[in-house]
Amino acid sequence: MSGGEWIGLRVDPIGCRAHGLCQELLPELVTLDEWGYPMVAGRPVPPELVGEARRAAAACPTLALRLVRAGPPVR
Amino acid sequence: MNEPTPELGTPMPDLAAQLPGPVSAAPPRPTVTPPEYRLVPPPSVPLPPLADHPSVPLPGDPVPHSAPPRSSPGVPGPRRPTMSGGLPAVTAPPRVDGRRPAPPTRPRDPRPLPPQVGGPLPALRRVGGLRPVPAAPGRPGSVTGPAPAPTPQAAPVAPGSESRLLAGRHQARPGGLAAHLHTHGPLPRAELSGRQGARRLIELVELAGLRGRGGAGFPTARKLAAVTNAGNIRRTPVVVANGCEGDPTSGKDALLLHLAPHLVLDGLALAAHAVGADEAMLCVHRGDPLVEHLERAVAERTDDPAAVHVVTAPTRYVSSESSALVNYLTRGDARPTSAARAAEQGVQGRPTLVDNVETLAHLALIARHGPDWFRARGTADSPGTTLVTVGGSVVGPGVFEVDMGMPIGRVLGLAGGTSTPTQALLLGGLGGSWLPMPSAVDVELSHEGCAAGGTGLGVASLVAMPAAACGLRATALMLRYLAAESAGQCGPCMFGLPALAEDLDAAATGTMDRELSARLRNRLEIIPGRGACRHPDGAVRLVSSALDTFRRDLTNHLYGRPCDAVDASIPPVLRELSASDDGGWR
Ligand code: SF4
Ligand code: SF4
Repeated sequence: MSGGEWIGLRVDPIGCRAHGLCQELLPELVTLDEWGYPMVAGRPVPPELVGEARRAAAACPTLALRLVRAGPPVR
Repeated sequence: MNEPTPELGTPMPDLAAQLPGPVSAAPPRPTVTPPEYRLVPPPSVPLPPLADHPSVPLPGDPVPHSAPPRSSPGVPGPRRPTMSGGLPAVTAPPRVDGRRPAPPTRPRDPRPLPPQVGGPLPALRRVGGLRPVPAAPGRPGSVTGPAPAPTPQAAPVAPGSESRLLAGRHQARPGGLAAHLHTHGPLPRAELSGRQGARRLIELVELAGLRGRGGAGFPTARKLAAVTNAGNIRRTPVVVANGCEGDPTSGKDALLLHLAPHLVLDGLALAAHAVGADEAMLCVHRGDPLVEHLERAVAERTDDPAAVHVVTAPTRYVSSESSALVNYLTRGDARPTSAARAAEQGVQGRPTLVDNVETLAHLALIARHGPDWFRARGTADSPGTTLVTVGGSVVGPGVFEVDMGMPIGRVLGLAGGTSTPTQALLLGGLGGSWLPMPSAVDVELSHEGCAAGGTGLGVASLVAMPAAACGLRATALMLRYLAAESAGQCGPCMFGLPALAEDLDAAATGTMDRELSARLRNRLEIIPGRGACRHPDGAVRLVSSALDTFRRDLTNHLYGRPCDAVDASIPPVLRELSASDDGGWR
């Protein structure tokens, strides 16, 4: 998962409880909507932010924020 | 607000224990008065008062709302998926239209006007022309059978417009196996037997280009292949026939299941064979009067390789979504999930094919007549025919079988044209789009035709919206319903849809603040794609199309000009929506 691989962020909408922690830890890539739910940029996570993104995902109380290999939409 | 997500360890409902026993041991069924049929003469003959005897589940009909307000989650004990065998005998009088009794009268527009759709229409046969009517009181059990059918030459049928799925509607008892075999002939079981035959079947579907008739239009052969490939000796695939018609504007699945249950069951058996499934489920909504009819049909069949169960699911808008059905059949919870695709991990973790009942019926015909026959109708990208429900301000609402690609104007013509000046059409159900009249009549009813018209086919239904009604107000009512039907699991859906509904209410009542327009546009941008299912996306599509289609109304309201439209002119199917109360999601 380094170098050439694309990494994207995904929120599991059912798991997310709008704690907003991810936005505090990763303001570069996560914004909150008016109800406090995260909106993640639909583009690859820049390499220098992958570490931060990983930390944010690990910090999410419900593990709703995930790093996924970017590509065609999962569903 | 947020209900706890179901724990994965929740024991699965023991489906097998609740199954009906072997066919021979089935309890005697109460005899049901067969519906009486009347043939509606071809359009050249003056039509009888159509509105008094709606052909099928009529989207335009007033629905009696006796449902109590939505209950709190305190449902006593978890309800498991109800296998039909365990249901108490239904004592309600038989319903002939497959959904609800025909109301005595329908309010009609006081100013009946000639059809608005482009003058005289080509003489086409009404596919929904044969309509079940309630047996006259005092003559219980009377069966008059079909009225003498006009000779084929007598009916002004446009070439190639014979109905396929509804071909058996002239039978005295259209739901029976004998009538079915008489109409369609036997399945070519021998030619399609074995693994070789299963592969051949998928090939035929691929060549036919069949696309799902549930709304998304996904190529059926690709789904069949995906489930086949995911199956193995330890994970036998399952097939689910989706007959839970969630959208109130659509009645085609109910009609199909009423008139041709064996065509659907043929398709279900073939699909099960194709993917190597040993179990198949036919899902309809709980309390659907069709349940008994379907059980009888299942009990009549003896040659199917996979065991077929009729399963009833909660009557909720989003519970007909594929992942919701899979969730229900696995954990007894009819809410959508963000789990893996059903084809890989579906019911009880097994590879699962979920197909709309109409898709399966087409499959049964493709197996009989081949891909070339199938492609003789429809377009290259959307081959075949499709069932479409037409309601709202049309002369003769009903379900019609039409060639894919037929211009919407002609579809309206089949329903007798519009009955009052019509400002817009709702295409694709509550999660569909408004199309302004008169340009809507040129949009073709196919996936590519709708895409070219800036929309999607979605649920194949049309609702004509009278010019006398306020489109924004109608959309606001629809949004209230969609918001109430959210499964309440995903923030953008659970909060976004009520917010949209509020904005629309404000717009419709002229009580909006200056920022409304910008706020609404922003919400429409951020909500889509952020739910576990497509429910919020549909709501956004509806609102966006309303803002375009009813722009003039919006501007009027913005400038504080009062709206003289009355709610009574909104078609009942859109006006009388009320969130279902089905004891939650279990
Ligand atoms: S930290 Fe997790 S739960 Fe909180 S807003 Fe972000 S994704 Fe949602
Ligand atoms: S998007 Fe809405 S309806 Fe779909 S699962 Fe989420 S909350 Fe339920």
